[in-house]
Amino acid sequence: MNVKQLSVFVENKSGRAYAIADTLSKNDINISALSIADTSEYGIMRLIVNDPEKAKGLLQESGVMVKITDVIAIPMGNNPGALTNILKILTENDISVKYMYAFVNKRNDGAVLITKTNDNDTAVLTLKKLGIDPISQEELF
Amino acid sequence: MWNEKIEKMPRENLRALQSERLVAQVKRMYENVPTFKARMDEKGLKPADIHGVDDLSKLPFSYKSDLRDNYPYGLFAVPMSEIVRVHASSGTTGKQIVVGYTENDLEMWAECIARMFTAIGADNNAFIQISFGYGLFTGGLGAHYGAQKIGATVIPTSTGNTQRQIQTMIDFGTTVLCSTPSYALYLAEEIEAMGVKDKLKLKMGIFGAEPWTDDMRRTIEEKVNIKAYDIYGLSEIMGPGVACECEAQDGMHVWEDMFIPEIIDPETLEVLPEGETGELVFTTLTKEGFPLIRYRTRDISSLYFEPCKCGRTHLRMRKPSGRSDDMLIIRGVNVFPSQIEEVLIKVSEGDITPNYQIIVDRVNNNDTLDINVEMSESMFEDEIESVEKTEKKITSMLRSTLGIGAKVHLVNPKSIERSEGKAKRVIDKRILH
Repeated sequence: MNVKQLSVFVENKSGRAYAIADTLSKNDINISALSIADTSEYGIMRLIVNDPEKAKGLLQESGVMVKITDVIAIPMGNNPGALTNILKILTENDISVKYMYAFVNKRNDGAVLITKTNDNDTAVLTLKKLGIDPISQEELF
Repeated sequence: MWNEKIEKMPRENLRALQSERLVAQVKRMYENVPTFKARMDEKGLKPADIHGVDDLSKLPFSYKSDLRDNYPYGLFAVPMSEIVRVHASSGTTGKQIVVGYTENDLEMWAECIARMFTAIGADNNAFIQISFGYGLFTGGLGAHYGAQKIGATVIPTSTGNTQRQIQTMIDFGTTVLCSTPSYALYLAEEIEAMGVKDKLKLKMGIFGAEPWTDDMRRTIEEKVNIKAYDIYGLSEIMGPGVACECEAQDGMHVWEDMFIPEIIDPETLEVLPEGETGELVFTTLTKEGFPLIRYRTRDISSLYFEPCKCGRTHLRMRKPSGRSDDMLIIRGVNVFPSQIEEVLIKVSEGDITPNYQIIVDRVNNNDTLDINVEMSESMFEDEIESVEKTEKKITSMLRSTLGIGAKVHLVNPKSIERSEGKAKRVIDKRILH
């Protein structure tokens, strides 16, 4: 049960992030969460949006390198210790996190942890066994 | 003069000597180099049709691609048992080109360099620091044996480690420096910054293997208070020392007892008269291991026959002002855009070859090579690690193909500027001519 993340290559030049945001906003794409991994030369912008396929097409047309990546959206409480709890489970099951970022879920005031791990399928199964059901693409919006 | 009899030989005698040597070489190559024989046969020419220099323009041209097609030793005119050394240089593809020398070839090469050192006023009292690279590159060893021949004290520092180069100059009492002009300028600036100019005994420098301007010459001369001389050569013909300046600093003497230069129109292939600008073509006359007839250098230059103030009768060539192909000289190394393209073809593994752009610049007197590569789907992932891996793979393949480092920048698809649909491949920001 994975959700789709937009992974966008961003050259380290002024105006690039703006151009990406502008393309999406002009086409009514809503961004729920984003993070940027940056190097001195370029960045990779990771986005959770309401229509990833449409967004991918739009960005590609505007000349941007973009891919759709499967990530896991894990529900958690909006309180101290919630993240620790999730990471403890992953650590104890030898699942390592490649990257993660989080946002507050407007539906129930909880939080959502977006993560990519070295083994997403095992991560989902492990969490499910412990009663934590990862959120699907549809449930996110 | 190192060899006054030859260097001051009247031009008609020089021409007679050339004719005699040319006839002998054509015969030898016809018998020993199949590629040359095939070219002669194609034109219906026999060695007996060549009676001297007047018949030179009848002979077929030879090309850099011949070296690739006959790689590695196919053009050598003697058995390998007589070859005592090889050197290599960049080819137009990933493969380097190989040249070979007999013992006599090395002797003649040293003779050229010895004449050069003597022509600029160096003798057995000189301390000659050779900061050209030693190895397969012809620069280091080429200059080395000539310096040794005049009996000078040779200081073979090779390239790199600027601080130690300067310390060596001070401590060992270097009087003559051999290097690329851009490295000389860099050294000159470091010397100025360190405030050690007064501790130097440096009197002159011989700079070559890459294009440089008269402005650069003046700057080097002023900064370290030396005379800066120009040298020309290419591995295919021999290496550095095919031509060089004398104390008059007015064009480079081509050693005509060993080489015949011609200037041709690269389009019509007609031989051009004295003083006209065109492509430089060389015929070797004494080379045994790897002789060449009418080799197209792709360097743009011109020739002057009028007598020189120094008294040498050998004609002079002007500093090359460009290329009739797309070769770049970066940090003294020949680089062809096609070599870079070949690396990208390999990296894309059957996918469409990515568009690229080569940007050459000179920052702090050091050539920089940047290559923008448009990303393809297969090069991009959501993790920095995988993008870096692609970048590093291209960088290391380029380094091993080109022999120099290049900085690779991955850029968005279709982001490289195109003119009339075709990407502009090379942007050279240096001012070299």
